[in-house]
Amino acid sequence: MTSFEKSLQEGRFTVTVELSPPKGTAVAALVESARSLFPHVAAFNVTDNQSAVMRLSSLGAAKCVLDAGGDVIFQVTGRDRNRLALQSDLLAASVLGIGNVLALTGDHVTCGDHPGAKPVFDLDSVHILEAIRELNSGRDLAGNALDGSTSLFAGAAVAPDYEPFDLQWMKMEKKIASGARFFQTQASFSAEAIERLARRADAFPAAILAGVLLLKSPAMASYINRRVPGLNVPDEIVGRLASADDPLREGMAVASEQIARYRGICHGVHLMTAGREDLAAEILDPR
Amino acid sequence: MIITRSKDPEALSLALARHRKVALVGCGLCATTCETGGEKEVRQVAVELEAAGKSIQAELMVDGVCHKRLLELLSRKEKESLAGAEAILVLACGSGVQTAGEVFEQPVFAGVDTLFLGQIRKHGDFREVCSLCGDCILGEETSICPITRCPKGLVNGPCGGAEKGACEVDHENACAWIEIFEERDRKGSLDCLKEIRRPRDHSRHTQPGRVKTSRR
Repeated sequence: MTSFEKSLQEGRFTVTVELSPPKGTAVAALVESARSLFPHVAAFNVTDNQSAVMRLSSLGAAKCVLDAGGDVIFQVTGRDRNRLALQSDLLAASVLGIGNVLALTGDHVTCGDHPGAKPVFDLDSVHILEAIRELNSGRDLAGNALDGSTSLFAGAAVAPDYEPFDLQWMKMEKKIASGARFFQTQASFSAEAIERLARRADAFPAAILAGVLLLKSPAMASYINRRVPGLNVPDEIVGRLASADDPLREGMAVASEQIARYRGICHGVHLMTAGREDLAAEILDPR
Repeated sequence: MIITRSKDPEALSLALARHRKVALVGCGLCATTCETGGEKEVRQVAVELEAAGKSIQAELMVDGVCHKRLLELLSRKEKESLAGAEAILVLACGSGVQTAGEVFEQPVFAGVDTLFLGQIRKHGDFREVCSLCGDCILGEETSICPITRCPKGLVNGPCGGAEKGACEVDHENACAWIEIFEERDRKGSLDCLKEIRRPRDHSRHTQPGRVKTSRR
């Protein structure tokens, strides 16, 4: 059992932090960010060509963080690889000692820096979860027996602000039925939406980690409202950042407040600090 | 209906740089409806090419450039006018262009870009609704194809990215999965959507496809 899974099993308020691999081979900063957060964080999510921007693969980056001593959540999307490659990579993850996987559909290539690339989407997130379940059982998706199975703890994402919510919930049930045992939510600034999700999920064998995004500036909040699909920053918070003397510290305060609110509602939080991992410790434990 | 889009006239002149005497072939079927390869468009392209210094040998129409027998008949009927052509510019879909390549001696050039299999919503308004996957799932569950109308082709949708019902990839489009959900809700069969759908079997449509029926 991974230490991340153990933390959830033991009912501890579990914190995960998102790390973005470099666009290149310079991994020192990534490893250092992780190291500095070891005592505070149960596991580090390593993103997979996030927003369809080409970066060091999540498999390679996850291995670097694992070697440095941290538990990792290997993020895998259906955008870039077909079912052969995805299963291969899941086997590789297992061999390399990676124990947690987050199965995602993936942002479309058009929003990234290689917009002419062929979008794959051979498997959706539900299928990726099925693949993990099969590989864990010693079979591949075509029913062939494996020479050595995996032992992966699988999770998925959910968008708490999504409307119609029943449709998103329907998908979430499919993910749980396919083996997802933890969910990291998209960042949300609506406590009501997170609560609604947590209440519905209570009867299911899945832990909920609420997504918390650090807003670094009013410009970032505006950008999100204009350009980032499925994420919305309420006017009240944009206003707080705009009128603050130190918008970054205000953004940290907003994040800390959210985390405090989620303590009673969720099994943990998934913190996204958008490059400012150095501030994560203070957000989690504000002075 | 196969939806095509006219190529830029400058691009056409450039492609035909090595050939001065050109014959044009348009299509009375899809390309006429799309207004990219009908009689009118053939005339217009002829005018543009003449202005660019080409000599137009023939302006021909056939009801289905992709129909090889019809094209062979046309090629025999118009033997004389075609004799002088150094190249054939085809204002029809890729199927028509390649059929022309099999029928004519001269090099053939595509005069339009072939885009998609479309629904004609009204005059000049075409939408892609079918991607010719070879394994039609439309029926009980939905009459909206998620493979085509969802840019990610999700069979277990939605993704998390829709904003106010609009697709994250193209805000001009509604999220296909929200549309499917609302359709099922209206028809009282939401339960159909709860079943997990298998990944697509791409072997149902391996390119290039071929169907041969026996004569009855």
